[in-house]
Amino acid sequence: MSLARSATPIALTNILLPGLYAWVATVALVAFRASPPTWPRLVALLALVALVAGPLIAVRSHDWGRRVGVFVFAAFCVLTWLLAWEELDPERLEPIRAASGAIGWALFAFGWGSARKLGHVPEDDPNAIQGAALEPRAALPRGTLIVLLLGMLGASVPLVFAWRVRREDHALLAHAVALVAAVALVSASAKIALARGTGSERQPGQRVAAGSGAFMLLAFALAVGLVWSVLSR
Amino acid sequence: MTLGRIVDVLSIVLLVGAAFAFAAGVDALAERRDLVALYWLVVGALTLKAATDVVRPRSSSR
Repeated sequence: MSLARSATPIALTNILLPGLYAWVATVALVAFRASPPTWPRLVALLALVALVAGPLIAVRSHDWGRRVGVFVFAAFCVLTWLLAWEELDPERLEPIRAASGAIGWALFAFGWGSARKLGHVPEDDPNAIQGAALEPRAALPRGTLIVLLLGMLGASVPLVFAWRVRREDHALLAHAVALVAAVALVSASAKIALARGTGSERQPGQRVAAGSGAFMLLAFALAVGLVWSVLSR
Repeated sequence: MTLGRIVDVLSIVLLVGAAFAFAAGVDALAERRDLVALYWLVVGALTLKAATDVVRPRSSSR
């Protein structure tokens, strides 16, 4: 479903509101504090024009609207940051505003995506394959969503904590590490959630034995940590 | 509670433990304690490996 076919005020608001928020929080504030301010401000305003123009152009041509609204807007934002790079010093960034700006960018990306329209039946599409509904071969184990949510919640904590790192080089490292940790946690939680209660081929003893290598290394690491904490007191 | 269920719970506990370890690692980085950060990140990785190893299905190729 393209914006050209569903240019409702809601669809436009879904793009413009988070985009405007991301622009104000992460681009405009940087540009208007920069010194000298002329070029960063000018480029930031061009980014705003592209942000607003994109969805309006998309009503007539979705491809061109997307090019202007996403790529041109993002290019002008990046150019603003390059022109005002001194304002992006981690010592000057406010963690809460930076994190909320990142959420604004994520929502802006979702706004340009598409979702099934309310009341629309996918089978009515002429390209839909007709026939009996395909039944799933197995039901999800109980508590799947809870385990997945635990993983996602756990993944979000390092991502938030990474904004607390003030040292320039370390901040970049912290974000990279937090991102890798978050991906690993979500991926592992999905594995655990789906494997639970599915009548694993292995006996519980075999399952514990399969993890014995990691358990031994973990026990060693914890023992080293314990000794270290005692000695450093 | 069957033994299989206990191993399932163990894997979830390890998953939560890994999340705490990763959070502690990044937090230590913010507190300028780099060695402590490295330690917690290694502990987090090992905990996560243990959590997934106990649920991984049997490999047929080995």
